Amino acid sequence: MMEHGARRSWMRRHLPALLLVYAFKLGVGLALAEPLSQVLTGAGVVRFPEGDRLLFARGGMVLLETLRLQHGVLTGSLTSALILGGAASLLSLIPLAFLMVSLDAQGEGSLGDRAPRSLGAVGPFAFLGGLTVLVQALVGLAAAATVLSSHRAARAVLDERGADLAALGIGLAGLGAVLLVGILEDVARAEVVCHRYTGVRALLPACEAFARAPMRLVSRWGARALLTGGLVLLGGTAVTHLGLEHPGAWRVALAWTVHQTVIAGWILLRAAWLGDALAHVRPSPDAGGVSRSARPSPDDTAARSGAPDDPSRGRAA
Amino acid sequence: VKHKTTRGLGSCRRGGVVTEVLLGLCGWSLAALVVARALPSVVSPEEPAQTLDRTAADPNAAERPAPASGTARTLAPSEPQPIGEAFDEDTSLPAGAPAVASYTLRGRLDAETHEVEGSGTVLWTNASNRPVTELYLHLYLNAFKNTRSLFFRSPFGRSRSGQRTTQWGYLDVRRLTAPAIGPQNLFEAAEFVDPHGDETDVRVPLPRPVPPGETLTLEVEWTSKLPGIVERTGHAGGFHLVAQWFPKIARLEPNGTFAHFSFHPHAEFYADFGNYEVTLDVPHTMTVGATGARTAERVEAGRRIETYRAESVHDFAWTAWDAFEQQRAAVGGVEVRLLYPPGHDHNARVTLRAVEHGLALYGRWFGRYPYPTLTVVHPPDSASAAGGMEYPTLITTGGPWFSGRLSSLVERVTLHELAHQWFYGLVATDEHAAPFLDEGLTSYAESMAMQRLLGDASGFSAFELSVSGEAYLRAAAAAVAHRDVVARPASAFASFSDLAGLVYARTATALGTVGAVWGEERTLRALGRYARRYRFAHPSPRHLIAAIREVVGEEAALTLSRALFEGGWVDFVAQEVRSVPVRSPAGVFDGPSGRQTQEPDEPDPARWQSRALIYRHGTLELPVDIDLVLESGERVRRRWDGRGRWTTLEHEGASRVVAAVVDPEIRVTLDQNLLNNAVAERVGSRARVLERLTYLAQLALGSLGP
Repeated sequence: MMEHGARRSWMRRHLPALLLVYAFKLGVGLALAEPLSQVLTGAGVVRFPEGDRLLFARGGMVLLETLRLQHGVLTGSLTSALILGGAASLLSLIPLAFLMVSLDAQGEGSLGDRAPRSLGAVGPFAFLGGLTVLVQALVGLAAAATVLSSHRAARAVLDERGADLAALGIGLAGLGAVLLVGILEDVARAEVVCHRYTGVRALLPACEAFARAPMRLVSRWGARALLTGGLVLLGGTAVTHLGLEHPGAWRVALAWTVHQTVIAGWILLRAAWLGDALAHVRPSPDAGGVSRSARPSPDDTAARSGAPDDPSRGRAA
Repeated sequence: VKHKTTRGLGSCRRGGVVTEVLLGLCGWSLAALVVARALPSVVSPEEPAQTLDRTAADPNAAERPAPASGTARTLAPSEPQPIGEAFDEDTSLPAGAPAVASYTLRGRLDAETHEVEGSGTVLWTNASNRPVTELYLHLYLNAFKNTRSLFFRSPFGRSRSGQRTTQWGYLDVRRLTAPAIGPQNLFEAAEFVDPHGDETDVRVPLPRPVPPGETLTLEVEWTSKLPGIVERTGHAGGFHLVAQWFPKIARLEPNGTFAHFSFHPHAEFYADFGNYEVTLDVPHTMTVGATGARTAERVEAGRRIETYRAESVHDFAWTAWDAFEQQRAAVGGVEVRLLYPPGHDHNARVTLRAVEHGLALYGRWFGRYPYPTLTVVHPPDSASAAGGMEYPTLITTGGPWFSGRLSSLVERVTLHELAHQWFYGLVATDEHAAPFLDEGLTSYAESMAMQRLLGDASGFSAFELSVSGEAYLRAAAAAVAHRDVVARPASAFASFSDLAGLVYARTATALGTVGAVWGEERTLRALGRYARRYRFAHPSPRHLIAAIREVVGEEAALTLSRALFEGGWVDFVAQEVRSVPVRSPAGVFDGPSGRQTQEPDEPDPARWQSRALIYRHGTLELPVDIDLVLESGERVRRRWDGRGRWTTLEHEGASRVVAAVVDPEIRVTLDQNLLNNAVAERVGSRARVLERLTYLAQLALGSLGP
């Protein structure tokens, strides 16, 4: 378990990069949400004294009416939001690169030093992102095709539930494969940042680094993913009990606080995982440049440096 | 392993970065292209090769118009008479229906060929006031015989649910005799009514007239070839739902005309009451469920032979499958039998809970369920087109094995089909000519029952959002409000989506509005009086309106009548609110003391005069509440009778009127646009939506982004 002081130190060192990631997500979130909220509320709900809380009223009469009357406009706005979101995904490589460079430098060096490294990593990140999405799409489609064909075959020998569960199992395995590609992408990003590789050059080392300790990497990533999922669920449950259909600006403020806390938590957990990935590929000084992950004790570097890069390592493991 | 460190990122060539960005974009685009191309074929693989394509089989069929069958038929047997409070109680209920068409049948199922060899006797009475010289038979299975059938011609071979059959089906009458008239096979002289080749509606001339009151004994032999499951009949693998499987005599109206029609994909059925005794002969491994109560059962020579008897019903359907699991329960004196596929135990529990809820509720509202049995069939996933259908004492529900855990689908379908036992089954209205009398009233009953079972979340619930079934119905009704009128024959609607929106949703919404405006208890009582008074009596739409008039009132009856028969609609619009400070009277005044001039004084900031302008568009005049919202937060409620095109509401007081809201409780669900029901000086908050959408966008970016 990381000590409280060490965690604070970690936060302080990476705060600018973390804030940049959060600010980017918030900005993009607002940019995507604003036109959609205009469409949803512009049809007339804001003409009511209750404002948009009518959309949350039990029974959903006004909500459905809004969706019915604004269906056409909403479809167009959603398409625009999707395109904007795609562009934002690409742009988000910049704050991600800043974060990873900060994590790699362990907070040392000035912003001026880190900026060129970060910007330089964007190109390889874009390449890796494109490749990852392509591979994930192919794997996902192959999994979907396997699910459907195996479902038909299973129906011949199993009952409905058995066939569905068998197909679900295959689907989850496919999802696992898709997620695995995502983990590999993160390791490749770490290789890019740590060793200043190009995207293409980072692929093989990333695969080798992953192959050296796959279970450790998957468990570290999985722990953060589970924590993130739990956080989102917890936030959703908490806000459900706020009663947004009732009046009171404090309810909105509280919902905003809860939700943004979830987002901040998500970013911290993501940063912790990326710190792990970087530590995994970082060359060990006493091993003549051999990756730290090749060593039997993966936590040595953190212990040695006294500045571990994972604030939640103890919690997540 | 030691990797060669390449150039520093700071010294990275600009061209390399650009190349990698471009390569990355190519990857993203290629991924999008692959998904867009491949996904449809993965998700919706081609239909099985044996799917019957009407255009391939008969290219000219699309050009032939579908006959407008049934449009001119007289519906009501008589003018409605006052019903009276006596019919609010079950003591008024008749013990049974007069037996007009009774069938004693035997059916032998060949599970390999999916054919039923049938034979039997029909006792048919001329219950009209005129001699009958011909009979009309419905051979509904012939709807699936070839592409000349009205079924295949009309919506391009697709059923109400949009599905096609995978194998042809038909009904061949081999022999039809009436020994009292003569030995000849009457079917040899039969002719199909439809000139374009449909074989579902047959006219059978009689050698001599049958006078009113005479009962004719008919002997019949036939073969039914079941289609691949379609339109709630047929087979899928070993599962069989055997409906509309025997030659069925069309209903004879009191005026001596037969209510006969070709089977249209939008339409359902109509028949006379009678008693059925049916012996079913199936492979011994199969479990059978059927209309009525099982009176005999034996297994011999590898065959299971079961006899079912049902009194005072107008149809008989059955199912047979060797994989059925079953549960039995006694619910209020009714033996409920659930037949379901393996793995559906939870759905069965949910179904049983819905049946318990529905039998009690509907029995209280519309008169007790009179039959000793109720069979609920949950078809397997491969036969989902058999789900959601009603036959006397036998209903089919549906949904995947997990739907009982994840949604209210099972409850909804079960409560809907169960309500059909009253609105179709017991009143036996003409489903072809007036489908709103069964589907509309049933949808309203289902909505009321679901509301009582699951509250405001009866349609959907997730986190802080909940949607009621009533809201879904209202939205569906508003979407098609101007497309057609509700009270039309099923075959007269342009599409099934029009029929669904108008017949199911708009009827239920109109009744919901009547209930909310004039009293839900009174509306339910009116429907109960209608259902009890006309049990076994084949009422018409006029009888329904008369019951509403008698119990709820003239205004309600007029509103419902306009909404159903004339495409009546309404849209309240809150146009403006204005407030000015109160001033003393000013100007030239003639009084007892002569003419006086009063100069305008300074406005009194402590008193305000406000005015709200409200419009009513449309043809329905409905009373509504209007809330005037004061600056102090207080609300002043006014009532407008809804007459006239507009009204203004005046208010004077210490606080200004800052907003006006028409129908704040949303009682008038027929209101075409709910979002123009309010007007305010200041725009209301949209912080909740912005907050929520921002968070959702952040989540999406976190999940899908890097």
